[in-house]
Amino acid sequence: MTRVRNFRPAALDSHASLRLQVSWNTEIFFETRVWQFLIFLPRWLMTGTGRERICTDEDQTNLEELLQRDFGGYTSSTTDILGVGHRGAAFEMNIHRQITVLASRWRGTKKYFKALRRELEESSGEETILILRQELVVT
Amino acid sequence: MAVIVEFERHEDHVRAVGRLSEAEETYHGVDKGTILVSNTAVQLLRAEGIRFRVIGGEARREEERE
Repeated sequence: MTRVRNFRPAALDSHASLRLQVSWNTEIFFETRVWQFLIFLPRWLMTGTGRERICTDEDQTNLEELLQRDFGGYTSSTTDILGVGHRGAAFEMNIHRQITVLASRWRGTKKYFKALRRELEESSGEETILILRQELVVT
Repeated sequence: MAVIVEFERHEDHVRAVGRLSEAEETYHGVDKGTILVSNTAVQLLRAEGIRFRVIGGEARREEERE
């Protein structure tokens, strides 16, 4: 697919809330359960002769600044994940940047990441942006 | 050693993100326009002529000694 437009952080404004952030309550001795989201941002489409840009440096910066604003931090991973698969009859290979964020377990958090996925798919032109969620226990 | 750097200009931040991604460097967002990176990454950004300010970490202490 061809890149459509720049990523627009403003598309997430209506989903922003302080409740998205993990509450690190040190007064409670019970364990804290949080959600960890892994966002696989497609950066390059590998072609026979080289690579084509999907999401730009600007897109990645704006996404990371958005996560910084709404979750208080993120990790942009050293590993560029290679994704390989079929698109119709064609064989396709993408390089992704993995961005990790911790969030509160809340219905609004799920809605936020659904909206984020939709915005990333619409802007990048990719059929599917992979965002994974797993539960972590902070002891 | 980890270093906290701050970009005053958005263009420098974008260039840094691109260069660090190319170099497969890990970094962490700690504040607006501010990331935690390795000392190696700081050298890399300096070599690229990217403008930033060191606001914490070993590199700052080195700058102060100089």
